[in-house]
Amino acid sequence: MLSLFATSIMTGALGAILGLGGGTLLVPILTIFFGVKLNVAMGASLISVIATSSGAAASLVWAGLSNIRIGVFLAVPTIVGALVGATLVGVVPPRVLELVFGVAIGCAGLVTLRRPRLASTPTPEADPLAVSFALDGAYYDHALGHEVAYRARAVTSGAGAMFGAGVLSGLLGIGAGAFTVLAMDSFMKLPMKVATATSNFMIGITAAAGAGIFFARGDVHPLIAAPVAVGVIIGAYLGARLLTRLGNTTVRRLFLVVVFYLSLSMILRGMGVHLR
Amino acid sequence: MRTAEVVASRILFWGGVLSMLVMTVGVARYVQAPTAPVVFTSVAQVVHALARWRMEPLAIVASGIVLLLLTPFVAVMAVFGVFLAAGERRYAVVAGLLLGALLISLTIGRP
Repeated sequence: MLSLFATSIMTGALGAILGLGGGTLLVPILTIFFGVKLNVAMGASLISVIATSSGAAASLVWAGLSNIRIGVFLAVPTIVGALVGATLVGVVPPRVLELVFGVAIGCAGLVTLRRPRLASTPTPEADPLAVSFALDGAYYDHALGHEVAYRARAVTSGAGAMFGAGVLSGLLGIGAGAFTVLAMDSFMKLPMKVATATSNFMIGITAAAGAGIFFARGDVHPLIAAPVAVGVIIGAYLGARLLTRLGNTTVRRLFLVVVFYLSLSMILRGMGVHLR
Repeated sequence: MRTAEVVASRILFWGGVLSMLVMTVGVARYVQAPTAPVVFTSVAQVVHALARWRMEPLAIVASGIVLLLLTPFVAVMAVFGVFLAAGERRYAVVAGLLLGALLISLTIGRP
């Protein structure tokens, strides 16, 4: 249990440094290095996602970045997706899940490496749904030195993408934050900081929906989920502090090595080849 | 609607802190006096194990997990209440839908 706790601290720190969150890294690490069954690793991962999301919620709200209207609105299709995904876990063979996980973590890696959008572009055409549901807001950006106003675009496409992200979250036991941020950034053209903060609020709720199913199915083992959750949250705190001391190139190299090693390992496991 | 954001963030933060403390206490007690591994699949099972004369360490851990699971539920319930009190019916309906989906998740995994 001590090694599990120590590994979770390292995973949480790594997740915070790489911007992927602990969950995405946790599932392959628990299955590859600890021999934990995939569904149990997913259950523990979802619990840790709720923990990290809850821990970060306060600071992001105080910074004025998290938009609860957008979060609540988009959480509905995301949760429906998570329910579908978590239900499929009991049906889809573990090897297929490992394969899908490997591909998804690789995609999440590529998504995270993209250049972030700092501010939303002006929106000449207003989305009727965004107007109707007041999916807009403003925040003061210290880096830009002025207030940034934004309004969501392509709400229907964004909601569709959220459903997909929810399916991945429920199916793979991850927060799928990389995908929800991608949807808010690429489809809805929200500023990256708003997308990240709102996604952080949403993934805790989405993970709770998925974790509820895993718990009722007996896939949340107290002796695995608890040390992992506590370890990841400590690691996330340490990682966030360490991040300020690391150079961008170091982080990028570390990111590429870790993410693509885990991605390849999971794809190979899905194909019946075990590296360990 | 900053009120909803502040209320939700406080519930999420303190719910997270409390559940982590409960889990840590449970794990510490388990390390002192290990018992056979048990997996709980319902809140009722956890409550039953907690109600015994000497609370089972793993039941304490599981109650921390349940507390963490329920934290987002409570946050969404509070947001629903804030929207309702502010007369924002449209968002109260959206928050209500979210709450319904969360409640469904607790029944889907049941064997």
